[in-house]
Formats: sequence, C-alpha cells, structure tokens
Amino acid sequence: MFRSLLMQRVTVLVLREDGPAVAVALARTGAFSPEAPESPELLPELPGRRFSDLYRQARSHFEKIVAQCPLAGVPRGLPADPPREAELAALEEWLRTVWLQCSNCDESRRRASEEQLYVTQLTKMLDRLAQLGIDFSQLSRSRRFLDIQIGMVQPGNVARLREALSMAGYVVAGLQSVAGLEQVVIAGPAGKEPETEAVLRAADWQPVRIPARLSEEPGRAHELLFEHQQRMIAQADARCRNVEVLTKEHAGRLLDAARILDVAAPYAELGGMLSARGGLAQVGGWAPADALPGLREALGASLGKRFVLSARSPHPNELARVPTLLRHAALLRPFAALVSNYGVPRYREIDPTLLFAVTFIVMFGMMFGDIGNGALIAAAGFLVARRLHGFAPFVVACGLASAAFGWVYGSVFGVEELVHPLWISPLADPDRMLVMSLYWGAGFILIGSALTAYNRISDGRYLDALLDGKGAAGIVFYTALFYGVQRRMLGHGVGSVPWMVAAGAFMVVFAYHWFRYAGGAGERMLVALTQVIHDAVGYFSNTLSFLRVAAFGLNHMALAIAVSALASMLRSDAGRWTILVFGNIFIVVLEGGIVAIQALRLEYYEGFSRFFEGSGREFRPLTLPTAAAA
Amino acid sequence: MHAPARHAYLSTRVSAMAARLLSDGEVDALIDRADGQDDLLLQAAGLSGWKPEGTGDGGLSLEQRLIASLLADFAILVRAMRGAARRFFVYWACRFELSNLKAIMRGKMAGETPASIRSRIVDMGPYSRLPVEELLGTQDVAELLRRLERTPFGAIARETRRIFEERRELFAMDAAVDRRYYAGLDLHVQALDRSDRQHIGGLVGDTIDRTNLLWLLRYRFSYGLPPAQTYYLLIPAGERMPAQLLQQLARTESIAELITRLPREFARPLASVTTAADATLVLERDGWRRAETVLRSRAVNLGRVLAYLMLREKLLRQLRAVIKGRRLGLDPDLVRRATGVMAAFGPA
Repeated sequence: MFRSLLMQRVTVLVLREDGPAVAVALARTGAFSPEAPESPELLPELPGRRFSDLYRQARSHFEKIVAQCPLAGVPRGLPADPPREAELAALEEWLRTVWLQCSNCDESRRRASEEQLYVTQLTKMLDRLAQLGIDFSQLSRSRRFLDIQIGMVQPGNVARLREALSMAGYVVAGLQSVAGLEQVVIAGPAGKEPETEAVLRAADWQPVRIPARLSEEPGRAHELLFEHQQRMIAQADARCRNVEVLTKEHAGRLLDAARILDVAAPYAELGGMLSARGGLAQVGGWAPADALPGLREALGASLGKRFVLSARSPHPNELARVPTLLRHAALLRPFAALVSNYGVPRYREIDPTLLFAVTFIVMFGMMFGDIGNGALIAAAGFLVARRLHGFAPFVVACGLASAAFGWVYGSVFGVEELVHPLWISPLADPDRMLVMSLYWGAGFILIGSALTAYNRISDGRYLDALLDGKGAAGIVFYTALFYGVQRRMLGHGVGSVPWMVAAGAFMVVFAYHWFRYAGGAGERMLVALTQVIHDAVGYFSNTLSFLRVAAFGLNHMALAIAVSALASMLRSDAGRWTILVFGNIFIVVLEGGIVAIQALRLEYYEGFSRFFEGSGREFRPLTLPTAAAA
Repeated sequence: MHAPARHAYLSTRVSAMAARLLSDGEVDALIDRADGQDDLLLQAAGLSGWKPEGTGDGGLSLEQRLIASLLADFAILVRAMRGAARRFFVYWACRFELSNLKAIMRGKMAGETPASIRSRIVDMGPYSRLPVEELLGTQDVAELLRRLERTPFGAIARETRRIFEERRELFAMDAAVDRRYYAGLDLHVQALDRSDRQHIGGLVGDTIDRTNLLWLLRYRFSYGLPPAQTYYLLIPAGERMPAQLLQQLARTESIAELITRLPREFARPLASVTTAADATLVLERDGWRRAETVLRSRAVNLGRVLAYLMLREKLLRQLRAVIKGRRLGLDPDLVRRATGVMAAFGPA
C-alpha cells in the first residue's frame, strides 16, 4: 500500500524466428516493460529494426487514410500470429498506394483553393485597371524597349524588391492589397529580364498572366474566370470522389489492416530492444515479481518449451532505473492522479498517495467546515459522477469531510443556531483555531521529515538520514524548538532543556555539512552555515504556512455570515432566498475551489517537497492496442 | 527594475558556465593529444562521459550530442528569463529547429527513408514546434509542405512550395529559410526593451553584418549571381552595413574591389583574403573575438548570455572538428585551420 510492487529484471532467450511471437505473448500479459539490451556487444544484431520501421510507416499511412475516410466498422479480434516482415512490407506498400490517391485528392483540393484565390485576385485587378482606365490587353503585349510585368508579392517583400530592382533600372508601383498579397506592376528597360527574373524568383513573385481569351473578349472577363474556377473545383471533387469509392471498395481490407497492425505493434515496439546473434535472440526488461508465473505461462502457451526465462532482483546500481508500478484501490485513484501530477515515486520510495488522500481531505474539511455546503458538494459529486471522469470519489470525500467539520464547528450554510458544535465555532475563539492549525502543521512536517529519513535509509544514505537538516537531526531540532515555543505560549518559559537539545541538533547538522564539503575553512563555514540556516528558516516558514488552515476556516464562517446578513436585510422572501441561494453557490464554487488549491499547495510545497522526490520512472508495459484486444 | 538587478542571476550563471569554455590554446593542445587522453579537458568543458571514438550513447550522432549539450545550457539560462528577452532567446534557438526542417526537406526530396532522416534530427525538447514524426511520415514533398503549412512554419512552407514546384533548387530553399530566420531575429531584437536591445542588438547586428558579407562574397563571386539578385538575397538588417552600402558592394566586380569599399573593421582583417572560403574563417574568428570581449566585460546584461551561447557553440564546433579530424586521420594543421585556432590569414 505504501510502496511500489517488487520488480524483477527479466531476460527471455528465444529462437530468432520466435521474436514476433514472444512480443505478442509478453504484450498479452501487460506485465512486461522492455528495456534496451544490457550488453549490446554480445548480441549486436537487431532483427526487429526493419520490421519496426515498416510498421511505423504502415501505421502512419493507415492513420492518415482513416482520418480522411473513417473505417466502416470496429476491428475486433486479432490474428493468431503477427505478420512476417514480407507480409508487413506488402501491407505497407498497399497502404502507401491507397494513401497516395488520398493525398492526390488533398493536393487537388489545395490547388483548387489556390486557383480560387488567384481568380479572385485577377478579378480584383481587372476591376482596378478598369477604374484607372488602363486596357489590360495592352499591358500583356510584349514591347521592344520596355518590359512590364504584373504580379503579386508578400507585402513585407515590396520595399526590398523595389530597392533590388532599382539596381537593374526598374520601377515598382503598387496597385492594391488583395487577400494578404500586394498587387504590383514593375517596369524597366527590356534586355534585363534574366537579372530581374532572378530577383523576382527570390522575392516569391507570383506573376499574374492574363489569359489570351480574356484579352480577346474583355467584356466577358468575369464570366470566363468564373467558369475556369468552377472547372477546377469540379476536377478536385471528381478526384476525391474516386478516393471515396476506393476506400469503400477496400473497407474490408482496411479493417484487416487495422487488425494486422495491432498484432504487429508489440514486436514493432520492441524494435531495437530485441537483440540477436545468429539464431539466438534475447529480450530484457522489468516485470512485477508476482507476474512471473503469468509471464512463463503466456510464453509457454505461445512457444512451448522454446524459451528460457531468467529473473533476478535489481542490483543496487540499477535502482535508479527500475520502473515503479503502483496499484491503488478505485477510491484512491483520483488522489493517485494528483500525486503523479507532482511526480512518480522512485522504485521502493514511499508512495504518498494514502497519506496525501487522508491529509488532503482533513485539511479541506478544516478549511471549509459546513454541513450544508459539504452536503451540496457531496451530492454534486454523486450526481455528476460520470462527468467527473473518475474524480467523483475525490469530490464526494471533500464534501463529506466538509460536512463532518461543519458538525465540529456547528455550521449549516453559515447559520450557527441550528446545530450545537461538537467542538467550537471558529469565530468564537480564533486564537484557538490558529494554535490548532500550528499543531496540525507541526505534525504534518514531522511525518514528512520522518518519511524523508526513511526514504534515505531505503536508498542506503544512512548519514543523510541521521545527520542532515531534513533527517533525524532536523526532527530533533524542530521538535525541541516547537516544544520550547509551546511552553512559552503557555506562559512557562522556554526552559533550558529545549534550548540545549535544539542547539545540539543544530551543531550536529552544521558539523555534518562542514565535513561533507571540501574546500577552504571559510568556504566550508559559509556553506555549512547557509545550509543550517536554510533548514531552520524552512521549518519556521513551513509551520507558519499552516496558519492558512485556520485562516480559511475563519474566512469561510465570515463569508457565510456576510451572506446571511445580506439576506436578512431584504424584506421580501424572494429577495432573501435569492441572496441565500446565489451566495451559497458563490461560496461553494469560488471558496471551495480556492480551499482545494490551498490544500493542494500545502501538500505539494510543505509535504512533498520535503520527503517526496517524485523522480521515478513509470512502469510502461508492452501492450496490445485496446481496440484490438476488445 | 534596472537591468543589473534583473539580470544578476543570469550574469552569475553565465560567469560560472563560462569557466567551462576552452581557450584556443587548450583546443590546440587537444588536437595534439593522443587518443584517450582527452577526458580531463572534455570534463573541464562540461562534456564528461563523452566517447569521441563512437557515435555516443543512445544512438545519437556526434552533431546531435553537441547540439543537445548546447541546448541543455540554453534551457538553464532561458528558464530565468521572461517576456521579450525570453522570446528572443527561444527564437535564437529556433535555428536548430530550422536545421531539422532543412534536413527533413532535403531528405524527402532525395527520397531518403524516415529512419535515415530521423538519425540527423536534433531533439529540441520543450522548445520544439516542428511535428517531426508527422512530417517524417509524409509520402512526398507535396504532402510534407501541405502539413508544414499548418505549423508555425507555414510561411516558409508556402514560399518553399513555389521554389520546389518551379525549380527544385535546394540552395534557394535554404537561402529563403535563412533569410527569414535572420530577419525574424532582428525583429525580436527590436521588440526588446532599450537596455537589452542595446546589448544584444550589437552582437546580433554584428552577426548579421558578417553573415551578409559572407553571403555577398559567396553569391556574387562563387555562384556568379547578378548584383540585383545578390542584394535581394541579403538580410535587410545589420549594424554597420546599411542598404546603400550593400547595394554598392553587390555591384562590385571582384573580391579585392569589394574589400576596398568595406568599413575599416571588416576591411582590415580581410586585407589578404582572396577567396570566399578564406573570408569565412577570418570573419568567424573575428566575430568570436567580439563575443569574447562582451563575455569578459563585467557589465551585467543579456549580451553576455548571447555571447556565452555563441562561444559555447563555437567550442562545440571546434570539438567536432577535432574529433572528426582524428577519425579521418587528417593532418593536425588542417584541423587547426578548420577550428580557427591557427591564424591562416590576416593578423592573428
């Protein structure tokens, strides 16, 4: 419950030709996470590499085809065996051919849309020339001494084009802006065309060529352009209709392709991780210790006796890369998601999910204690459970905690006269609330520090666990100081014992850092002192941070009273109820959200940052695609 | 807040990182060392664990590992930036992504397999905007460009499409991409606040001037392009070479004539240069020298960050030359020339 599952380093030796079958068998168990070979020089060949490349290409074509023409059904069931490399190559070739036709459709649509844009621009230009009283048929005529061209460029290129063309004796004049492009006329001495052509190409010049027919029949220009445009669209549509016919025709084969690709996926994923030499192949990885019998059984069912599976515990130098696999009850999963949002526990590091769930719920309740509001939240969690995508237990738990603390505070929608508090009403004794929140914070920090020490011992970092400011010495320092301050608050004076214990622990941490760092005396003094002061200030500020638990509890009561007071100021019942309903919705949504964020902040910054590194590697098993497995 | 206060952390960080830069003397010594004796120097350069003889860990090529190392430094520095300064530096790093884009376009045009192209792609990590796998999975260049149009590189795709459809000129595509990049870099400099613009603008302007000069020499005298086209292909920005001067330079008929018309700071180091290739080495060395001056200055500003990144890139390129030189058994003096540690032309 508090740690990840025990892992074993598994090595499977098989015959080279059984590689694909091994991949599928291991994927069916969902309990094997492959890893790159340990000694690549011993088994230097990677027989799955080409298969992997072919798969990737075939999958890419397939997905692009399906994105354009969805499958005619859901692929169910898998072929018994993964395809051979030659079969996959043939499938890839066929998918490529189908995709090329789809791609042609895409390309012709794009061209049609470009043509449409071009026709629009040409139409506008003809209109503009007509406005200026210029005969466009004259512009397109070639001349002996003068070169005139009309075209379009990006607006950002016009100034540069003008400068460059001036070097060849040309002038540049802008006509108008259409659809993000600048229509431009250039004119200069004939004979310099090769030089200007080169510049125009570099400027991404799109020449506007007025079709000869337009020059012959200028009165029908718009009509002719429209006809041309329609022809292009019709051509593109015809090409795309062919694709639809083609994909309908091949619907069955595409479904087969989906199944073949699904069964090929595990071997393709193994790709560079299945190493071989001659007829022997090997795949290595990690599996939970309790899954080993299942792995053996699956391999036996697929290969008979043609395999050797060996397993061992991870070596100490491998611990950093052993993947972490955690199993949580359904109720804890939303909390686990919030923990993994911070990080994945390292292998054998304490899994903080349960501790997080309990402390988060309690803190939420403490900060938002109200029977009515809590019941609303819990009811909302039940009612919209499906929309919460697995987070319903989280919402319901927060609501119930809020209602429970509402009982403790004696508050129902901020009204304190309906229920007698089990403890006190927060506003009745704010000082007491603040002191309690400090006790809560101190307990939280001490548990966090104890877990830090435990994790370090698990890692073999014994000195860190005992002598560091976040280890046992830090715990002694903090406890002694907290005890002394508490005595002082109760009016007894700090006393010499807490001072001496705290000073002793302080010196231990200082000495630890002093001996840990190499360097001159001054440098060591500075580093050790900075570290110790940093730890001490950290304990102090972390503790004060928990004052917000009481502050939000008080804030909630004050806000609820404000809503009640506003409502009571109104004479009409309707107005009163409107204020009460909307006021409480406001409290639940806004304040509830803020309290949840604050509780999460306390967990992450005051808790996790203390004991949880979260630098682990998640266990990612080899699996079969879910659609196919169904 | 004033620049020194804003950039104190970055400046300290850069000073600490700058200790890992190797001097030309140290790189020179590295060229003469026997195989297997590089560990200490490479460790000092922050590249411990390197295996110069192989392709490195994780199947990454030498180039990919070098750039990954530079990007790791970049990520540390850029994390502490915000606003226009951050946008500038992220754009600066975009050059590696543009190299990825060029590699994909070239590979697709040459009909290479996705695996072969992928082996040359640099992982940009969180700064990546290019959907590399999607582009690698395209069937042909037309589909590649169609998909590219839907990315932040859409403008490049549209320009490249016409070049591809009309001429299939790789040079023209590369030139278009590079020109856009530098023009964008200049726009990002203009967006910086006054103090940052002053410090970064100097280095960027200098880099653009040198790049313009190199392109001018290459287009005009190596490729024989006409003056107007040469001028159009240059970057419309820079520090000491305004548009009018660039037009005059583009009209020159020989390298010697061009050098006589250059501002003094460029003319002097190029005095004895006769080819565009030689000019490249001289101008690069001169640019690095300016970056070193900025990095050595005690002022607290973002210019030092850019100078560090430029010099780090220089060091990594030098190391690549040393390692490749060794692999190919090249003459050490040739490697010295390629790394710029031996003054081949002009004053050292």
